[in-house]
Amino acid sequence: MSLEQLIEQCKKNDAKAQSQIYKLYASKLFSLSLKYSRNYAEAQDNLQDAFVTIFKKIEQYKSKGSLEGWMKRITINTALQQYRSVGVFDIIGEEQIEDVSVEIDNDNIGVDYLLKIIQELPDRYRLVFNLYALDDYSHQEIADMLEISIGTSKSNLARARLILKEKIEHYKASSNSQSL
Amino acid sequence: MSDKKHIDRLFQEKLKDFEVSPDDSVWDNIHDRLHNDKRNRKVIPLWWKLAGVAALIALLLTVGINFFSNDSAIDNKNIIVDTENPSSENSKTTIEDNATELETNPQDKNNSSKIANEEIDFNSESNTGEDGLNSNDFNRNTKYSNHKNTSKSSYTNVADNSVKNSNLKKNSETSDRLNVSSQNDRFNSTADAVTFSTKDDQKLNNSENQKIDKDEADKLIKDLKNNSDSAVTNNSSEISVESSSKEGKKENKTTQSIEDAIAEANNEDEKEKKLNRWNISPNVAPVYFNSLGKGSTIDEQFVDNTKTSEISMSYGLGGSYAINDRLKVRAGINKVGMGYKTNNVIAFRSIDSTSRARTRIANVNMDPNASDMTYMSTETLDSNITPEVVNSKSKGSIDQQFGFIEVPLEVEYALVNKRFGINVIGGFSTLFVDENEIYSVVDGARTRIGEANNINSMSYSANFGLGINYNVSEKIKVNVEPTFKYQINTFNNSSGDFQPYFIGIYTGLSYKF
Repeated sequence: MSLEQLIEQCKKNDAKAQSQIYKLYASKLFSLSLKYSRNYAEAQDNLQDAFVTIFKKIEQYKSKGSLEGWMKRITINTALQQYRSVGVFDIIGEEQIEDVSVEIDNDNIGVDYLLKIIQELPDRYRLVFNLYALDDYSHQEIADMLEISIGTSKSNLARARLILKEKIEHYKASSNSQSL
Repeated sequence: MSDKKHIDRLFQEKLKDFEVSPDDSVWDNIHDRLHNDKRNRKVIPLWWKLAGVAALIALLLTVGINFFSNDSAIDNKNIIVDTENPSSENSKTTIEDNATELETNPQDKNNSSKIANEEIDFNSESNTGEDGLNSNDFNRNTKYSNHKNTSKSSYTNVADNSVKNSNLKKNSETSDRLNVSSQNDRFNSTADAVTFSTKDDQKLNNSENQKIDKDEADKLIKDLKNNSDSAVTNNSSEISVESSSKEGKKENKTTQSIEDAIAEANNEDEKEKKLNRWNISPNVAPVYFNSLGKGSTIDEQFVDNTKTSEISMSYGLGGSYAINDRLKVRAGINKVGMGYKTNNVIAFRSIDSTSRARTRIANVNMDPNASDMTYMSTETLDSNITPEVVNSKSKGSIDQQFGFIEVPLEVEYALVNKRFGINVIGGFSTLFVDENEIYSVVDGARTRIGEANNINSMSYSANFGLGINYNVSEKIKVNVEPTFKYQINTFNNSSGDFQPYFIGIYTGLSYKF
């Protein structure tokens, strides 16, 4: 069955077609959810909510863009929605910092560790870092999505980078000392 | 060896092909939500259709009763007028008896006047009825008089004419004036007969009518005297003229009695309304929430913890409609709050996010300020293994509080229906969540940590109650109704065997109208 046919079947709320679509995209969207969430359980919840939204709104999917892109947007939006409702982005009085170029040695760092340190970032930093660095959203778009200013977006990104760099360096130092 | 790279690129490259398969349970949940959800949704409209139908019936009944109460009042009037007919028929027969008695009287003039009297009563009877009956009665009248001698039949013919001819009434008045001289002695007997018949009427009618009847009887007697006078002095046509004039007066009487009948009917209407079917009752109740089974709505680890129920309040307004004097249908709206405490919980601030993931409370959406707190049940900890830091922690509790807007739809059946009444109540309620909070109580400090994510926004309860009421007055009752409400579908993901219910002692006043 082609993707178009699957989509058509999904529009009729056909469980088999939904299962097929899920199998095709679940792991991609789950890794995306993991980056935006604080932990594994939260990512699973997010994935679940996202897929429910996807299948309920599949009528609205126009074949203009790719299905994957459309599903990713929904997954990201679902994640943001959770934080938007509790309003964690605008920390009043937080000093904004200038963008800095953060460079790091390309060492053999495990992807699991990178994911872990992303998840450990405070929500407002993690979301901006994900959106800007990993999912190619502009600061303008981020500002609109999170209802913050562009300045805050830039500042949060810079802070996220600094925290991540620090953690990676610390990790390297400790692993080096262990290996010694 | 290692080349410097922008941190963004590092993450991009490393995470580019990163894919993780989620647990199988995720798809199961998605499937359930997409398909079971639908089944639920099919069920809910059915409930609502039923409730809608019930509401519609109630509405139609209300409108119908108001609408038909006017009609039925008219019906009642007719009925009452009809029931008066037999009474006048009774009086008719007595008159007939009298008439026949008097017929034996050798005096022809007396007889004729007697028949005039008879006719008057026939007229009065027919007037109380409908116009259609009038002619029938006239026919009967003529038939009856035909049985008598020929002079009488000729008189009745004239009487028929006189009914048609209203002008003759004026003549009759003048003839009344002319016939002043009386032969009282001779007509005493007829007068007695008339009073006798009116006495019968009196017995049959109520006291209000009695006075009028007396008046009418007096008039009748006078008229009869005049009548017989004219019978003596004038020819038979004049007699009939007389009788027609009396007919006019009788009409007055009958219209009066119709008015009485209307008044009476109205009274009875009011009496019927006093069996008022509608009731409105504000109520308030202490509510005790608990579970039939051992379980937890919060997390699996708290299943074995002791739970303490808090007594909270419910208040609202109900209305009922009495189908008959024993059965009532009731509906209402109540605000109800509930809560319970999960005891033996320790809380600590977790530093490591991975440990947080493990100890996350399954059914609670944590507030951001509480998101780095970990709550654990001491029941699941073995004090020999766990570090001293944990054991030394003072035990606190997690308080779950939730509230509903409750819309009950119940049937009430009266077992005892006296001044002191006992009734049984059964039905169901629809519950809409309007309050949902979870607090932690540690070292005496109570802080909100979030809200439960497993309370369905709409759920139901099956209700059973026993009502005791006391009639303070005809309109006001005091009720006490201990009611057990077993909740259905309130939590969509509770651990253990959590079967929530609540008991309320609903106390209130009910006002009839």
